[in-house]
Amino acid sequence: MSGYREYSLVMLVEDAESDFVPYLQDLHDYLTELGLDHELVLSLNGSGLFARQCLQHWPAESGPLQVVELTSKVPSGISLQTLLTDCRGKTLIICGPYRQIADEGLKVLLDTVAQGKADLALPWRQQRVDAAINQWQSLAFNWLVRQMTGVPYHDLSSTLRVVRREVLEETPLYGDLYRYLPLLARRRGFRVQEIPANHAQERGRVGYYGLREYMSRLVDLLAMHFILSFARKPLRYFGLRGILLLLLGLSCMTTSLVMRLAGSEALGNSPMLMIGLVMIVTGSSLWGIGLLGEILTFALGRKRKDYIVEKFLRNREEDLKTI
Amino acid sequence: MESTTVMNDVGIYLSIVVPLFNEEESVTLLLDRLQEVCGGFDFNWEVILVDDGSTDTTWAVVEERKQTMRELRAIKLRSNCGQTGAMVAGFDHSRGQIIVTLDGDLQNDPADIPLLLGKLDEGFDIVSGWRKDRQDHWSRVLPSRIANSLISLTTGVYLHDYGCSLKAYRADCIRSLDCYGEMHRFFPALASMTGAHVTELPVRHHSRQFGTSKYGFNRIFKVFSDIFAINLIIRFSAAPLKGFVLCGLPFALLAAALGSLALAAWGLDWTEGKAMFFSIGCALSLLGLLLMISLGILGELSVALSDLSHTRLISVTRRKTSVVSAQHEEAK
Repeated sequence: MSGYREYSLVMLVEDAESDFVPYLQDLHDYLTELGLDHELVLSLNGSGLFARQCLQHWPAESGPLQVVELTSKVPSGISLQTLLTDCRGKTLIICGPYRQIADEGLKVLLDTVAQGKADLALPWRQQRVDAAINQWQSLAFNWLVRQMTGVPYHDLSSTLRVVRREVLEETPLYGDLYRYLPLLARRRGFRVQEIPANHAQERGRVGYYGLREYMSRLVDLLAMHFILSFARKPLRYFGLRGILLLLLGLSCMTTSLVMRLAGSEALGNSPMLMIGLVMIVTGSSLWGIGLLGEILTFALGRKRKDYIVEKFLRNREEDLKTI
Repeated sequence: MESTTVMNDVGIYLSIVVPLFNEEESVTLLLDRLQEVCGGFDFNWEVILVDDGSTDTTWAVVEERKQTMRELRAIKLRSNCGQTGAMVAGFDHSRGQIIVTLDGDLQNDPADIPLLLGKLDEGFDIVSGWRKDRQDHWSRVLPSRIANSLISLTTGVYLHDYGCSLKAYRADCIRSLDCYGEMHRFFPALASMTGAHVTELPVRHHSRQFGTSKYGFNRIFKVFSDIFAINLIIRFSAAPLKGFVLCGLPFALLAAALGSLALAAWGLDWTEGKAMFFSIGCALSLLGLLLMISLGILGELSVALSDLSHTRLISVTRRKTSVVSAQHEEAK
């Protein structure tokens, strides 16, 4: 891997954060102190003008700083995929614009990945310093994620992650799915470790978020549930629900017809026939959507490999003349 | 055994692909049997073992065996990705013109491999094993028989035992399929899409000696769901709108019936409310039909954006080329 550095420190700046420059400087100094070969990459996601003004204070002696600027704000998953081509680090340290956990915690994450114990390490913030209301919301969200996906992580809300480059290359991210990177990476077979670390600082809104934020998270969670379990078999998800509704609708219609033949009230006066018909239409639509999902998967996704090779044992001579 | 197929003498003719999941006890015996059977071949062969994320010492056993067995190549997958994924990994890393697949739990007998190859030499592209004298409990055999009948009836590729892992393929037929999910049961049916000639051959079957079966009752339901999906892919992947219109036909009939009743109710002045009732029923049925057609159009769009049609063209062209070459040889 010529031309590659050991680490890329990638700072994601999305909002008008004024003091990201000192934090970036601190991290740079810390990594230098640890003797780690690294480059600095700053991702300005729609925060270009303000951030550029702040960067005027970047000390020249700190070395080169690569700035990837997206002129309009895009979801974090997309911004990360975009800047991957600009990073040369074999391992990426991805962080937000302020110190979320203490440096000792970061060191443990770095060591875990460097020692090959994990391909992705994320912190589980302990002794949290943010408002109690935010902590409760975070707890509830992570509990819901665990229940819906069955994956045992406790803190997906932290931006800080140490991740091997291969993980990001093999795990396509889109939309706001950066939050769920540990789940997606785990599904692709990468080793993910959540490591307890002392919480240092938290920013953002205190109290309840807007309805839009909650809805957005719920929709993302639903998408994750589907992607993790049924991405390659959409008919199993939609088909089961569709067939159940279809059968229920058919039995409603049959019952009302039998009752009519047995001399009961006229079909037009029985609501069961109409309810049955609505169920049949809804069930068939769900089933049809599952079938469409199968066609989409076959037509557009069949070339994507389901497996990742970890080791390949073969003879030293690649082109054998005889075995 | 002698193969009548012309082959490049420096290349590999036969690749044997074996997916493994927690088979530490059987893998050594399996490799011994393969060496015993394939050692007598007059062509080059290789075994591709695919460790599908085993949690026991399967990989360690394989690594140790590699020291002494040159025909062995082995792949360790990062995680358990299922039998289809493991088989596709094996196909992708194989070099043979013929690929034979078999289970790693010694239920298939490697001694049947020469018989499968002999059948391929008769001109077939895929030979599927048929465990005629199956050594499994009836609770596994019965659902399997029903599934086999359903797959055969619906796909038009009549085989007694789709679930038998022991199969032989011409590599071109299977590599071009790009399978995913849990399609391994349907390889012969899918390959028939590209015009492959499929047949079956009775093979031996032994009951499982080590470990536990990786199949459960929940699999049966999944298989039935997959049968629908595979049929749609086989029959309508090139023209999905036709498939969806077919699914929408009952709604069209229902709409026509309910519409006629509504007209009759209006015209003949039936009891109050009946005309409205039938009209709403007719509208709902039309909605169902409209949804099916819309889904079909979306399906057409996705196929148009994909390279499905190219895949089919390649397989047809390749067959034509081989015919032309044969005629050319004859002329010479």
